Amino acid sequence: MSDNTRKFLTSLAEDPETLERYRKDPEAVMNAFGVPDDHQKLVREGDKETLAREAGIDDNKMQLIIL
Amino acid sequence: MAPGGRLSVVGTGIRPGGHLSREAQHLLQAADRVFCVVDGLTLERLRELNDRVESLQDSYARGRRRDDSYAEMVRRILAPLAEGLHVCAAFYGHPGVFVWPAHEAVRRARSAGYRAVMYPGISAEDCLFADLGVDPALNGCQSFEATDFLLHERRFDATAALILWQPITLGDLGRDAFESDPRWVRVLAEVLAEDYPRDHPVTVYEAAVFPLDEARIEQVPLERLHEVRFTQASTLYLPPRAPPVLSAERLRRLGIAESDLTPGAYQLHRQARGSTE
Repeated sequence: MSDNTRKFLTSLAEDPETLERYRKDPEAVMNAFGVPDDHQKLVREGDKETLAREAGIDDNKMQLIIL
Repeated sequence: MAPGGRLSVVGTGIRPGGHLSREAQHLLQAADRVFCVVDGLTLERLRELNDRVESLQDSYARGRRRDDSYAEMVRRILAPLAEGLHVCAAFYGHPGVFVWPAHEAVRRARSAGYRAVMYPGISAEDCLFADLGVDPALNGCQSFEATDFLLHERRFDATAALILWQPITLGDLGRDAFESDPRWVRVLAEVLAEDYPRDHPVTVYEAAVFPLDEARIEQVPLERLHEVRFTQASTLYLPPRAPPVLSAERLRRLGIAESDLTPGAYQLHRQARGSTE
């Protein structure tokens, strides 16, 4: 589990300014949050499932249909 | 006197945390119990606000009828009301849009004499309007659940926008699967082709949920709709076939001529674009 990775992902979801900075320079933003190298690799590869598990985010495989 | 229990139903929006309104945050913090159907990141956020959060995702099970899952969710949400507690039920998106258990919980709580209030959230439809640049006022907008649309005789207007929700459930006769049947998708396309050209553009839309995601905006001609892979987040958007036609009969009834009208900027835009906005 990595608090830094979780804070990084939460910040991207909550703050469009951080997301814009990330789009321009992903490495700089991940380094600023202290995201570990192995998690940076998962981000670059777009491995969402492993990333969510590694970041300590459970219940990520959600059902969306509620009707 | 009304019993002491109280129910607040909130929506957490589509983007985890980013769409969580201030009023929803206050309610989530103040509640004695929180039940939720949300993504993993939002669940983390809710746990920061309240340490008595219980996910309802385990009410779902593969092969289980969705309506049984929803009935269980409602039972779990309502149970603490009898102990006089304030329950907050949080659903992703808008709790009143395509969320059967949220409305059902409010109805049952109220009929049992409890105070129950639903608070709006940002829905997938709100994200669609923003991401596709669609204003529902421009051409009008009709919204149907895809299976319900296909199975019933509908009088809809092809000069207005058409949104069909959860196409993933097309062909799910038992309401217990999460996969569409291509045969049903073909029939849906045939039904739509009675009102639209076969090459009419259909946008498959999915709002961006996970922080690293972009919205899915994939356009296919109507006749190739069956080739598309749907997910649970997929929605279909069909732009109008053509602008609406001015009614000469209604102008006559109103005693006015077309030259008496002052078209709004949106109406001029609509005429200039012709169709497929």
